[in-house]
Amino acid sequence: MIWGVVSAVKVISAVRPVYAVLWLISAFLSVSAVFIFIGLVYMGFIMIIVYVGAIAILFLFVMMMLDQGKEEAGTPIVNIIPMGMIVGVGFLWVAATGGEWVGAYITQQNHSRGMIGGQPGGDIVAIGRVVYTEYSYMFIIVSYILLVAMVGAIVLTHRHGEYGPDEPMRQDVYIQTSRDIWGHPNQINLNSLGRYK
Amino acid sequence: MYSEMMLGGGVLGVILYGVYRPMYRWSVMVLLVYTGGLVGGYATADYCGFVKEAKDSLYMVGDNEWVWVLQIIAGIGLIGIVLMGERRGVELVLMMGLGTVLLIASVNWLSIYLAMELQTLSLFILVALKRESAYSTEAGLKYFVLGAISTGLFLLGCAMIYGGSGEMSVLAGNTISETINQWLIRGGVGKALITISLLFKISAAPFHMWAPDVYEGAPTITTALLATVPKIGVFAILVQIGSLSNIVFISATMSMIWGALGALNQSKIKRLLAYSGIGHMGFVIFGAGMGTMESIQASLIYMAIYVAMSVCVFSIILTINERRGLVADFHSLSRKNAILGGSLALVFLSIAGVPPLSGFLSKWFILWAGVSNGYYLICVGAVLSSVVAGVYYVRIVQMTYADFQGELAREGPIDIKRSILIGSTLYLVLFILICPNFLLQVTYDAAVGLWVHV
Amino acid sequence: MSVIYIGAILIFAIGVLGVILNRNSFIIMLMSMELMYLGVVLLMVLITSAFDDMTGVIWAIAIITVVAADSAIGLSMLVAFYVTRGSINVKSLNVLRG
Repeated sequence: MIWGVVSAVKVISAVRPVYAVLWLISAFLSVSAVFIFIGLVYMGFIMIIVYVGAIAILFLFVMMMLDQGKEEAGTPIVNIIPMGMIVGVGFLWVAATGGEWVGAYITQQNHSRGMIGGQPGGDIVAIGRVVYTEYSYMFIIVSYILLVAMVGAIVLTHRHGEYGPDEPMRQDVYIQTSRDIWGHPNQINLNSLGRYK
Repeated sequence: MYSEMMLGGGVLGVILYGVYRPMYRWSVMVLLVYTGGLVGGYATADYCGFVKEAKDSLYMVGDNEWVWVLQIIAGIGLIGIVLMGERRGVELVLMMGLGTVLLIASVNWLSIYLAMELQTLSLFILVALKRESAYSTEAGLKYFVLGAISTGLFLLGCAMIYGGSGEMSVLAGNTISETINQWLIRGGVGKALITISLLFKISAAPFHMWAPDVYEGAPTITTALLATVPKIGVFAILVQIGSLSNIVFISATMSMIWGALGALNQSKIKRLLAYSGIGHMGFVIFGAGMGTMESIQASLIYMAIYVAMSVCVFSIILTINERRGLVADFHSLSRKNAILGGSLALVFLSIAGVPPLSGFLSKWFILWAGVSNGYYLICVGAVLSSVVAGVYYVRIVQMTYADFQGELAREGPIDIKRSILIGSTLYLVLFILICPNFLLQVTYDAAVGLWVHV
Repeated sequence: MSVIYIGAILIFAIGVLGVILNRNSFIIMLMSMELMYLGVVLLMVLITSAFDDMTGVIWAIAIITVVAADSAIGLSMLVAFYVTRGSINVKSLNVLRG
């Protein structure tokens, strides 16, 4: 838990984005360890598979694609201290009071509804039992959201080919794989990359 | 429930069809069938809502008069947007409409969250749709960042309500917090966070900073969409959850004042309309925050008339179609195209709230509810800020009629769909004051429908 | 026991701070959003394990899925922005002013 908080601080204070991704993966791993310790094994593995396996790798891909060489210096830290103090103190207050209240309420409740703990097979059986029946609404709407994400990613980044907007972009294997061995090294790079820029 | 299922199936079918063929006509058809079905069902049903079951925490979607009337308004707004728009991005507009319709009907925090995400994610893409333009992508990124912060606040609020009450149904949460009577502890912080997040989405004043930038940077058709349809959905939820009225009142007062003052020195028409929308949302959430039946009915009337006026204004802006998007483009419009100039002047006078037009009617109902509930100071502020706001609307009218500059070439005939839209919404704007009985009856039924099930 | 809830909200708060205070690069801002949602998921799952019911787990699955969609859209928007402007610095968000 403490390791997760430390990793979170490291994420937002890292200078280079690659280090930030590594610390983000560390935070995900610590959270999934917490899940496994409290008995929700399936949720822990979902955290690792989805977050570390998909989202962090997506970040790495985009970082590789954008190729931002040298970072420019941001705003000096002195300018953002006042706003940081205000927001930080506000959220610390919310964290302390809200956490106290929620914890107090839960300990005072002191009865277990017994939907996961007593089940044979653990949480994966319990989730599988409700997600297609009682929460099928959630299932359908989430599928719509994923459809929107798919359409959006295609609409925002797909580039059309040379023969008009309806023409899909084709791969030209010859240009992609050819190397001009005897020419100047920069020239062939410009030619082959220029179409795909 | 069945209407949303129908719309969802129709959207999927249209998208599948659109893989091979242009799908513009079919999407218009789906929306027309959906809205027509809603109107027909509303007119014929002998209605008794079955939201009584909504106290069960598994019940996701409610169904009463309030939901139906708001869905009809949202459907009509969507038809307007699709008719005035272009062919690109229709599927995302349909998805956004599906999200809004589901958001209006939601009675569970989980379904509210999912419907709001569906709506917001489609809007992100629609804002950044013109991806070769630096304005559009920058507006998309700004909207994305601020929208993600507000979604995060919403989720934290939901987690706190869940931890504090153990229930995820909106109505059950309300009853629990009332009976225990310790609203600050049992989910009070969570409800405050959720209210702030909804005020973000509706672009009310302390949380409005994304609105002018996003309105200016987005393509004009997306700006028209942003100004009308999502606000209906967020308004429906803001009324239904019983949000904290202190935050809503502060935000309403600040929105009215800020919307009037911020627009005074704007030269871009879309920024001006963004500030105008902030001011109008101040009026709407003022009525929603009072929480009595008359005030909620007044807010609903305001929302309906605001949608009609926005559709009319944006159709006229799209018809003029200047690339620069300055207010100065309206110079001598009445000489170029007399009917268009006249309708533009009438609509802006109506937005300003000049008496014989319908904008006056809506403002009057809100102020009436405010005075009869005893909120005198906010009402005085509302009147003063609408007087200040009247300055720049009347300046546009004066620009249309009085300042002639440059060449005065007559323009060609305008698009038939946009002229139908301008004509029908202008009819509402002009003549609704003569016989408002129909609108009053429908909104009265809707506002009563909020109370029947408790 | 409530220390662990405070930790979850603390991760959320660090994420919000990262989004607001970051002036360097957009990718770190997107990662801070991930941290925000991570904190909420942790809070939901902790509460649900205390109640021992299913609601929070379902919420956590929904949030994880929606966050995947969200970051996909954000990153593709970032790519489109990079193609038009040639930079992903936060300071380059300066076209729209007024």
